[in-house]
Amino acid sequence: MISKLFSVGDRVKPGRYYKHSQFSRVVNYTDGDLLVALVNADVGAGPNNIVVSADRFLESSESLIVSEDKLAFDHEGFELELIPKYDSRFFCINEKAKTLDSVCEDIEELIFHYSSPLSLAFLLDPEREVNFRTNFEKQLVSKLKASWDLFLRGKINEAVVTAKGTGLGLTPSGDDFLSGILSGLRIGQLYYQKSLNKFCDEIYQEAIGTNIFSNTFLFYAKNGCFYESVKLMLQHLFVGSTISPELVEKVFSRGETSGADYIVGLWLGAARLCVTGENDARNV
Amino acid sequence: MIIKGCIISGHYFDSVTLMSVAKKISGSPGVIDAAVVMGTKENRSILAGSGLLLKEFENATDSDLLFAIKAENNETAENLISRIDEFLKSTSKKDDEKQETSPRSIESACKFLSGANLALISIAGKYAAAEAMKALEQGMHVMIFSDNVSLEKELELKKYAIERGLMVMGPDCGTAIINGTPLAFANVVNRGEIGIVAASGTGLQEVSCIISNSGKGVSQAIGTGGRDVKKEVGGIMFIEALKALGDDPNTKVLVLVSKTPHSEVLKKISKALNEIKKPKVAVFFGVDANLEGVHVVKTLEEAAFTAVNCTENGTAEEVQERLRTRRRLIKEAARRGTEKLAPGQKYVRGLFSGGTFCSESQVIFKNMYSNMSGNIWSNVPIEAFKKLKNSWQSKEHTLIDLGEDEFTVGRPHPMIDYSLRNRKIVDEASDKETAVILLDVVLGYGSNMKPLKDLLPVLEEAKSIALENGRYLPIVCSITGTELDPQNRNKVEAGLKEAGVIVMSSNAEASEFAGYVATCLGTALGEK
Repeated sequence: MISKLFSVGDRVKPGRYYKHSQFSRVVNYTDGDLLVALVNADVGAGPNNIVVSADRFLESSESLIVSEDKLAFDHEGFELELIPKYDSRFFCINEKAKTLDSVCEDIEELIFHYSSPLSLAFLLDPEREVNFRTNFEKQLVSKLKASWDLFLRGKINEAVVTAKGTGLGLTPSGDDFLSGILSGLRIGQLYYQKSLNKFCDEIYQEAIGTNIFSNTFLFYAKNGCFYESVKLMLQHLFVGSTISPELVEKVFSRGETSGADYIVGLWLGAARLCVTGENDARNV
Repeated sequence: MIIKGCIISGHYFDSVTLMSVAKKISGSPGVIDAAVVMGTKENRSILAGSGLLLKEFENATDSDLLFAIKAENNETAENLISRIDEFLKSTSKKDDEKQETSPRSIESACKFLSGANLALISIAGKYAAAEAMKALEQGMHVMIFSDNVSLEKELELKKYAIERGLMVMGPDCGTAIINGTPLAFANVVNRGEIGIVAASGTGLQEVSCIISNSGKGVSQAIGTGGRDVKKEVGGIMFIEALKALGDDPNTKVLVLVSKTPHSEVLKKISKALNEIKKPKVAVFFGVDANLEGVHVVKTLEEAAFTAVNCTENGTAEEVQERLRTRRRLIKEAARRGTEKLAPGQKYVRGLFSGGTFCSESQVIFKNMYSNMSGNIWSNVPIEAFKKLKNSWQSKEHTLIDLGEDEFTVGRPHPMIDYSLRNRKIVDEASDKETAVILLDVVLGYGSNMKPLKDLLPVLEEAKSIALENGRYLPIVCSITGTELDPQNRNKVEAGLKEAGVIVMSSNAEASEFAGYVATCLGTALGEK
């Protein structure tokens, strides 16, 4: 039973979707390509999220049909025009905004303070490598350090191949990291007012695999779409206003490490990779 | 050893569940290594590199969940695999029930646990001061486990705390027991009427454990971090802690533990002690302090014995008599041990995980002999002993603190991870001049949870190396811990003894044994 819909993401496209997977706060539907997620308010809005109010949303329907004007579950229909639409675009960069360098410094600080032990924060803070103890984890550290170095040396394709599909969690850490890089590049694109479309496309094409969760995040990141908590955090950072610890925690607590892995990638994309420009940054 | 695994297809579990299950499996008894990952090509490649790739994983897809377990035997691996479903369900259920994220900041932690009055900060040193200040601003006492906090920040925090009647334990404070709760590296000890203030983590652990093992207990054990008693900090928190325990009605006897406090700080401590009308015991390594009204002793063990004795209204002479009797027994045991040594076995090799134990051993050697200083080496020598140029290469009598930065960069502390010391044990066993290996094993929270599993194989290897070369190699080891510790001291002691290790009740006793071996071999002359 779904009592109320808070918002529908701007990238939820018309189509017929079937239930794919279910977690405590998220139910995923798929059209065979990407995911649309039914989430509760704790998770928050996103380009492909439908935010619902009912605590009992876990007893959700087996299918979801989205048309131009309606959204229907097994036994319930909703008029789309009555439901607020979440705008996933990020557009808070204007002449009064803080510089991207300054924002990236702030993001680095947040990474140091809020990342969980087994996240990729070790790429910025090598002292954290001690948290990786099993053989798998130690090899993971080596591989992602190699990817990081390749990115910084402009060997983008090799860097993506080295990171993709690598790591712990439902969406492997390397995939979250690559999604973050794409988001970081999109921020850089807005800030420097230059096209990084080709650069993003190449990373995306190399990064996608057969994990539908990773592919969904990569797709929306490549298209410059941001989830609500990340977007809010970035807006606060660019405006220079105080961010509540709860908001930052929400960003960093996606999955066990996914939130932090994504933000580490975002930092790399925004602070480093977009700076040297589309043609200079790499040696593909 | 065996590697087993399984694949789960068509079911998805969130990352929190997966990593929690992975931790549960990795920490299970009999498990050597484990991984729980999605079956991407890249993860399979890492599994191959880790020696965990199974044939059945070869055709796995990105959406498959792979479990790989390297265990000591088939039964362990099979048992865990049969329980994977149970692990996944129980972890997911807990997550459902929780429906909340873990706090990741001081502010939200306060909301999670209203009324909390102490924050333990354990993050990279460069960020620790800022978090500590946030905790102080919330009105909480602070224990800073992190090191590498600047002196300026330490002073700023401590002055801020003093103005508000709060305590700052640390930076680099590894141990405390507050209201019976062990914090960071600490042991489960009896509660009682002896209060401890220590600028030495392992020193605090050793004293509190000996007190507890003697049947008495600890009221509070307050760590301050080693730098607090240096001139620059001026003993701010050491003195505050003394005052607090002086006022504490549940504390009847005070014990002070520190490595060499600065002389000016010592004067301030002395002044503060004059105001406290309770029995006081102090052990300060490297300083022959003479404090009025204070039992100043030479070892951690003696400090603990004296404090226990004070609670029973005993005399200092009773403690000395006990120690003299014990020394006679140790000396005789050492003499018997040396009769089995081969010609050429001459020197003591001490490999310590606790820095204070390395200092204490040196002090004991210095006190035992008048002319031993000529051939004692260390990476952290006390005055009169020699500094090793290469800490990896032992020379004559060598006492090494493996917790020093030169050994711990990029790896866990040797109290947790024995691998580095294990390598050194094998090196020393291979050296034909080694007469006795001196070790410490520190139990309790924070320390290695499987000490026997990690230590016994290498001790056997060491003894085999010596035996193959016609040598008998005594290994003497102290255990810091209690039977209430998660590792259980009694079990660890029994396991070590079964492996032929000479187990001593304290580092002081073990060091004296090693010292007497040197006497018997004639490499330490001038016994006092």
